[in-house]
Amino acid sequence: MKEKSQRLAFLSLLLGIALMISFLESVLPLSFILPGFKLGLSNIVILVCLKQWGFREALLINIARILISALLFGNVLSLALSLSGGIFSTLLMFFLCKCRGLSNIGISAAGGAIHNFAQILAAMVMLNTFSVFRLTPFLLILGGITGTFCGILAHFFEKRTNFSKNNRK
Amino acid sequence: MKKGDFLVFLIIAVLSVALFLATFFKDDGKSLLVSVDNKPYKTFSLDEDGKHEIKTKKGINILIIENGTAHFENSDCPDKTCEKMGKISNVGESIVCLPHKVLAEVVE
Repeated sequence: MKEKSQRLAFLSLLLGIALMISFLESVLPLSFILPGFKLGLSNIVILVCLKQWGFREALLINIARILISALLFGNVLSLALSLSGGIFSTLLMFFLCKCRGLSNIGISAAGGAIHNFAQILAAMVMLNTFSVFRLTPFLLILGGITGTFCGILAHFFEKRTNFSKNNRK
Repeated sequence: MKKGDFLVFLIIAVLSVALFLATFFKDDGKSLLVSVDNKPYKTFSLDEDGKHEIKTKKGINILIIENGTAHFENSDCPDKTCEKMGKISNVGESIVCLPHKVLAEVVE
């Protein structure tokens, strides 16, 4: 019972942090670089959760975060785009976490790139056009860069907090 | 930073360069889809200059393709709106001739 409520409290806290970061991102005026450009900072939380808790918890938090932030700041199109991106990036980052020889930075960079790639695919399906595919190379690189940035931040986040399953007392 | 991180960066860089080259050098190959009375009539390539007659039950439209653009000329329809609609070249643009029920549309 105590286990369960502790898990609930920890996951809610992580979700709250992720939502706060989502809100800050939606306020940051970064759209001049590319329409809809975002740093994907909430990926930090997902990555930490993935490493400290596991795949199910990370996916749960990510989907909950996307649904809530779409309700608060987004629309239907942005919801579908971020859902596809979020699910695929969480999946890929989960598999990469199993690999040795990868630190947070590499995992996060790969996650950012696949996030953008999945969004392009979703946009292609929904808008029924092939022309957005031309953006893919730029978005891959941008996703890699923002992912690297988030990876560095996740490294510090992990170092200075103990959101760990094993650190519970 | 570990070794694998650089591998991830390398993969992302190689993938995006390859995709960029693949999409950049792909032939544009835009074409013009002409339909009459809502049925596909014929598809013309916008890269080949030429003069085509589009024969319909109600009359004839002359389609001119030059320098990657298309326009109508000398139609024997009453309102001549299709001639006034000018040249089209971008995907999605279209010219309509209502009296003859002709629709010309640029597609990929």
